[in-house]
Amino acid sequence: MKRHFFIVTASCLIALVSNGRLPAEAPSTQPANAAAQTAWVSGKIVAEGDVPLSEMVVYLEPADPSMTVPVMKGSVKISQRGAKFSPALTIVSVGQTVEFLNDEDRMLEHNVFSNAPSKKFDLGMYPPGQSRSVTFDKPGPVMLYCSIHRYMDGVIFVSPTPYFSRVNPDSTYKIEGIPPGKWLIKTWQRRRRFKEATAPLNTEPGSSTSINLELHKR
Amino acid sequence: MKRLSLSFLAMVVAVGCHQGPRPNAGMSALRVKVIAEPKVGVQPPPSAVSTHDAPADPGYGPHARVDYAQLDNIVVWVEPVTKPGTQSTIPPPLNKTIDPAKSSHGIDGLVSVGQKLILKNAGASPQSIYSASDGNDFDLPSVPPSGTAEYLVRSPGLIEIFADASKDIALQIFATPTPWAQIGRAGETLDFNNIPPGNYQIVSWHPRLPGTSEPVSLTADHVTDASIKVGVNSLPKVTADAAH
Repeated sequence: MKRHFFIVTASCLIALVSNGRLPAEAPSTQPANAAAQTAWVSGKIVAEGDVPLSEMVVYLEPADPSMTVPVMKGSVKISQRGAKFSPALTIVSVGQTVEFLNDEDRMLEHNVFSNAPSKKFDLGMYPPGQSRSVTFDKPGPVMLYCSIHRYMDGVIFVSPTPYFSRVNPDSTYKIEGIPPGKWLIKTWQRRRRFKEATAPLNTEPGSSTSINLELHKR
Repeated sequence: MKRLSLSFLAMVVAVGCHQGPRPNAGMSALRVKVIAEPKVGVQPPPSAVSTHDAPADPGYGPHARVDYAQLDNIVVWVEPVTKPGTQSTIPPPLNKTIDPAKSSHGIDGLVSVGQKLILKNAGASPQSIYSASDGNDFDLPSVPPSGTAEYLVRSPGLIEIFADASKDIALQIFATPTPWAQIGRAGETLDFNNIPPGNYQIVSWHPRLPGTSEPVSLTADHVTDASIKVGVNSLPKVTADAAH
């Protein structure tokens, strides 16, 4: 059965937020007094065949590519302790910096690198107590490896906007602090088992939207 | 005397077996040495382990190191410098079996663009066999047990294939832009025979390490020797002073 490219069935239930309160975890880019002017979207990821999902991200992209979005403040740290990237999945937004800290408790060097099309880098080797920083200026996944340790891998997902959510184990997500506007809501799977889903999203000040995103094989 | 005879025989057999590519008249051939290059300055591990083994292998802790001397899953192909140039013959279909109970731990096969992939369901129940990989997304619905289904490869790149009952990727097939492709390991020499003379790129790919490409000019009735690397040394360096 041939399906349309955008295979999302989005059930949109738009309801106004009655109390206009600040969402519980507004992104750091949103001043507190502006929270009532922002919107939020939540929903569930539904996969064809009830297959367990891998690590996933839901994020927003402006429907109009010329729209400017704020850059998230502050850098994010990734640990290398025990020859593991922690967290194994890090989500940042375009323009944000990640600090790769060698926090091993013994004299152990790592050589973190990425060969991702959107960001290629080699941090070189550096001893415990030191770190190297990389700013991610293009959206997309950036796979991380160590050229020395064979099981050391992780991923940074660079969202085009600061409006993103990691999908919870119960397949739910929630994105808060969204400015009014026209958006595309999209999925990204660490291990792509299904076609990524996309749906339109229009936000108004103080609005909340429910969108369930369906993932299909093609 | 007997030992001498055996040595002589072994030498004759070795010479006889050492057959490089012999191109047909007017064609050319290429021998490519595959090199996995560690990060410059890194000392080899005291006890090497291969990357061939699955991550769940017992006895290997998180500090197990990559053994560049034994690195496998290195894909090497040869492609014309000018794309619409040389025509190559599409190879016969590649037959692969999918067992939904098993997961893939490496590259399970090579195909080239335009080649058919025939997938057999080794499961006990009907399965959809499908992929969401870029340029090669497909869904072959309800393949019966021991039944097969076909897919015509459309784009180069990694094809990750699932069956309905798979917990993880069931099969990993790498698609190359030309049929002059092989999969090998570090230290190996790969032979490519009967390539039309011309200017080509030798390209390498590895699931983890960056690949490289090298130009090569192939002449008629001649075997050309070359080498190709995988490794991190070609990546842009980030230092403490220049953060990004």
